[in-house]
Amino acid sequence: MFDDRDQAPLKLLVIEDDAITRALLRSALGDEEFQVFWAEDGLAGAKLFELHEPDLVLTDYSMPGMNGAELTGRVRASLRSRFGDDHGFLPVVIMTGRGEAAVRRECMEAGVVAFIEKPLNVVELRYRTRMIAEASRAQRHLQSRLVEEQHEIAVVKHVLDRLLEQGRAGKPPEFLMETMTTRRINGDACAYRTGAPGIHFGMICDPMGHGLMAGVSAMPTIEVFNALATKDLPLPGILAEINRKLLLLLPSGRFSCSILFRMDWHLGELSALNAGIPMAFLLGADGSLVRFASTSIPLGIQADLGSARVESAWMAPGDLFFACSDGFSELVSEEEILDLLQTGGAEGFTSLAHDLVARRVHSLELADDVSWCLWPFQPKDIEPAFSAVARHEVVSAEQGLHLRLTLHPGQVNYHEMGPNLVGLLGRLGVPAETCQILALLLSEAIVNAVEHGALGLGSALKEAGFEAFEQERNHRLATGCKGTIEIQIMVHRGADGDFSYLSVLVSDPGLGFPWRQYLAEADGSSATPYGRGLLLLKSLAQDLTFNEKGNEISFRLYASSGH
Amino acid sequence: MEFKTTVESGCATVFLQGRLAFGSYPDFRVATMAALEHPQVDRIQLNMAAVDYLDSSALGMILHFKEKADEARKGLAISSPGPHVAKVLAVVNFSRLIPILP
Repeated sequence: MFDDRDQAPLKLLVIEDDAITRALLRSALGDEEFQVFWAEDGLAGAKLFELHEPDLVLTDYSMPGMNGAELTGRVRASLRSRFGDDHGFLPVVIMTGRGEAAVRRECMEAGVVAFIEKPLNVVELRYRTRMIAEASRAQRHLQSRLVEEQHEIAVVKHVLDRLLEQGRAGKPPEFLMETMTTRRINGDACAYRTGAPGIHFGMICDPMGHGLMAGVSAMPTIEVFNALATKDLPLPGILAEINRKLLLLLPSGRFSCSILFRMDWHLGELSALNAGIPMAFLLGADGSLVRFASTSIPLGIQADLGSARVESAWMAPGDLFFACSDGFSELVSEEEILDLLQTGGAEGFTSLAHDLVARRVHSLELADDVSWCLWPFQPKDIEPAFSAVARHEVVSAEQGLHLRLTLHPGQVNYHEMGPNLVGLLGRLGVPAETCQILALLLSEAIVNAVEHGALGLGSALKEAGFEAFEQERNHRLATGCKGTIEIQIMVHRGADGDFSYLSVLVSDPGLGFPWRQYLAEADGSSATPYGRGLLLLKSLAQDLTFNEKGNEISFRLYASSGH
Repeated sequence: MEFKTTVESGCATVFLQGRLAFGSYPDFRVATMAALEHPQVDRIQLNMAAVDYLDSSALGMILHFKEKADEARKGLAISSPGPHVAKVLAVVNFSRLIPILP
């Protein structure tokens, strides 16, 4: 790459106190190829250097006031003041007829790059002057470009930091996330976002390549993650949207590796969707190890992510989730990381990891960004609606939730519990349409269990009016009525692993109700203020059954039920 | 849940948006009673085009409002329900109680 400055004449500063030699030099250098600034002594030469920033200084050694070596020292000091110690090439050539070793050494120690012997050979003088001046100009352009690049990188780092800070406001302090960047930046980022209360999303992204391009590639990835994780969307949906965005924005041939992970404090579940990140695992407090291998191609290559799938594992307090970019895994093996975790635990990991990385790079600059996340599972401050979630079950070929909820008067918004629980199910691959029906039916079953079962509110009370029913409900909640509602939702799958049906069971501690009679009468033909919840269950659920007493309801929703 | 009401040619249209459930009752009551008490209104439409969820307690709220509208001798209809809402209304035969306009 060349700019207009490359076409301009090479700028020379020639310092020579002897008039005859100056005349000779004018004949050798005085044409359009060079723009020459003339000085007759070192002091004047040093001033002209400051003014014109020449590509080359060509100076006599023996001059009154300041010799060539001293002038070189002044030039070096001037460059250092402008560019620091790393100012690079010092464009000073000494013309001298003195061959003493002491003079040459003095000049070389001052930073002179070459000597031209006197008496001057005009052809050699032109040739060597041109070569050294061109090298000097190229070096200064490179230096200038590096400074520009550092400014550009600083801007990219600033933007990345702002994007990451947006999401990290609610990050639990015990969640450790770190990116050690190279001087040029490689775009690695560890992002965090809170989903629903108690739901934590994380991401490591590692764009291909180095420098600004990689840094810019990370931006859309983080933006999409920030926007979608906060809505608590399923991991495949977030990954697909990041992929779509990268396909849209990145030039052909660029891609990005990422891992998305989600820690659910309510259920004690860790799920991850890995697209090209080399190492991710859950280390159990009991020493067990669950790895989350990459199941997707990297992002930004093609629309179809193939066999990408979410891998999940159940957690117990004290378990540790760890993931890292290839910059880290190429320096430290999995065995060594496990050793660090077992030695220092989550608290000591950071300093141990820093020490190990420092030993591995031996004070050299990092070759690649080093990113890692370490999230201990230490649930706390769970929202009351889910505070009593006690256990989950995993049955062969089926996954689901088995919740035992204790009502706390006035604290639990049980009317929203059905849709909220269905939100938790979304990631288990239950079709959206089935989820919509389930939200409604689950809500009806839970409201019925709470109001009629736990609070003992009779349907006849609704005859007195909507406000009267609400008033009595609030009164019973406020006066300490409480009870245990048990909810079980199981996702059943076929042999191919696809969703087959949902089974739901809701039970309450109440006295039950004459469900056969109510069910027979529920046809929506009257304007009575009760019975419509039961009618919705009767019409939209399959295999609806009650226990004899009527305080336990179960039903199913099939994939092929046409809902 | 959000509400917006327009009045035109004696008809008040209450545009409902979001999830209509038990928790929406205070806002629902304010919006619908304002329409009911408007002196130039003789009929009311509950526009449900933007309602994406309603349950039996919401149906109870609407029926309760129907009683008030009947007492005030003002007509009540539901309009523009989306597919999910239309399915729920059909299951409970709501069209027998309140006209449902497409």
